[in-house]
Amino acid sequence: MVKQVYVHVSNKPGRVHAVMKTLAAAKVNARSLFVADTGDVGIIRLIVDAPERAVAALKGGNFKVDTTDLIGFTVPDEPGGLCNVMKILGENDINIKYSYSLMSRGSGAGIVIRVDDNDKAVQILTEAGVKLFSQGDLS
Amino acid sequence: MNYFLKEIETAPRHELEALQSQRLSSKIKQVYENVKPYRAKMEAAGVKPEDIKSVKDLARLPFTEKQDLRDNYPYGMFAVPMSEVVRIHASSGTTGKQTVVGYTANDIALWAQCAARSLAAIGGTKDDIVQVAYGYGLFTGGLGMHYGAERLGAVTIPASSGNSLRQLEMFRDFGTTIACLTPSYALSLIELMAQKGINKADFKLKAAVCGAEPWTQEMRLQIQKGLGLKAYDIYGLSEILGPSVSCECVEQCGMHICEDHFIPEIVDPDTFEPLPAGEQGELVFTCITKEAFPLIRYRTRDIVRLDYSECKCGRTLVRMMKPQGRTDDMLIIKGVNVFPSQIEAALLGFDPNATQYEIHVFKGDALEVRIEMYDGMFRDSIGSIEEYRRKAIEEISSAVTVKISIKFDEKGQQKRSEGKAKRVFDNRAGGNNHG
Repeated sequence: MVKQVYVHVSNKPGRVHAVMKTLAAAKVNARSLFVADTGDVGIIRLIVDAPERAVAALKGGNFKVDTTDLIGFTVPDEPGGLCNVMKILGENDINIKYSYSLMSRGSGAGIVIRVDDNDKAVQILTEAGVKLFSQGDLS
Repeated sequence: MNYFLKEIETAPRHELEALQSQRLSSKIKQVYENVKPYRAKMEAAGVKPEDIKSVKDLARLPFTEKQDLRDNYPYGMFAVPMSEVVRIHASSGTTGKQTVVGYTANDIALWAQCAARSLAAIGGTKDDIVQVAYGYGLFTGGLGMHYGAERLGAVTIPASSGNSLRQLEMFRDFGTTIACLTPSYALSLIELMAQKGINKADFKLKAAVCGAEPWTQEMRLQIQKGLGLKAYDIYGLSEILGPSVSCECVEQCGMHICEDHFIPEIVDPDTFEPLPAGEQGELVFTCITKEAFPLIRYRTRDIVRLDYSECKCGRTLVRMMKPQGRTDDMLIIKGVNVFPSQIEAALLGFDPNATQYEIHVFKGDALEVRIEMYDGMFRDSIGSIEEYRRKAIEEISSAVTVKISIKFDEKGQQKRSEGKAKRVFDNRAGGNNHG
């Protein structure tokens, strides 16, 4: 499991910078970033090397910060690499709420997904031989 | 039960009315002789001082309004020579020129007595340590409660407002048992406690006396929980006295008015005709003991209901229910009267944690409620944000019968209050910007 750090900010210029500045000062390295918006609220989603330190630093900066568990897995960096995993998830009725990718991980591409039932998804992916990675692999 | 002046506070109504009548007729004589604007108003209305023999004659007298105070700025309504005046206070003047009020030495003593009665009503005694975190200065809150706490014989800490971390340190180190502060400031202290990891178990607080701005039952519960005490409502306005014109007792079921000093009436806000006991309308006060600034039939603009029924605390003094709004705070949105207090009650009823909010009105009567995000308010999905927005719109719109919109502000972005919270921003041309 990968611990995603997410922050709710106002959807206006400079807010992503404010978050990244806080993380930089705490010597937290971000591995991936995904910004979503609702019009007035921006959700900044982050995969970092040290989630606890990131949360503490952001809390100290009075940000509205929390964490969610995502599933991380590696796929071959080639055409059709992601296709097989998506097929398995679809066939097992697992809905992906959102997903994004990480900087390349060795020979493969790192992907994180947010699903409703983490335990079920992990079990299915493991049984199918998909290579999972966890927070420990990112530090 | 804890009283400060038991004889007056529990007097039978007929005795109280006799006292009021006697004080009223002599006060009317004094203002007629000494205050030019009053004499002119009474002459225009064809009323002579000798016509006012009892409280039943009150309705024959003309009203006094805030505009009268502005027209006679600064000292034109004073009823004694300036040599008799020992203190000046002034209103915050958020809706126009500030209004100036004066006090003689006797008025200051009377005020201290009323404030001591308020503190006693909520259980205060000379053994208490009272931290006054209202602003000291022209605003009546600080000095008003200060003199009251001293009159009660309690230890009085003149903390004034602001310097929030220090306020919390004093709660802890000085063993404060009663805090006097605005409800919005109480909430911002609770927020700071969470940030700094300060625990209410380190405090000896038993009561908070919260006034100077409207607040809701939901806020009361939050303050009580957050500080570990009972929070009481106190009412006052500088034109009449300052805090302690009325105050709740330990029963928390309405604020007992110091009727031996101030006669309340409820009038229809449109026709100004007196309404029967128990009906809701605009609250009007007549000062019958004050010397320097005894206003007669002053229209407070507060929409209030009075309850003359017996209170469990034993006080016979009438109870005023929490004001339901102010006639001059009222927003007219597409022809509908909307009180900011209604919006607050609906919002906090829906989400008790949404205590940091602002109300904005824009051209075309667009009404927007801006809620500041707090930890745990929603999860990382857009769905949870939109679900909250949809429910908030539904709850508030149905409460005020006007369609509203909701915006979310970033945590910590809205301006925090150290005194009266400013929550309403009317951006329409000519709109008032008030508390």
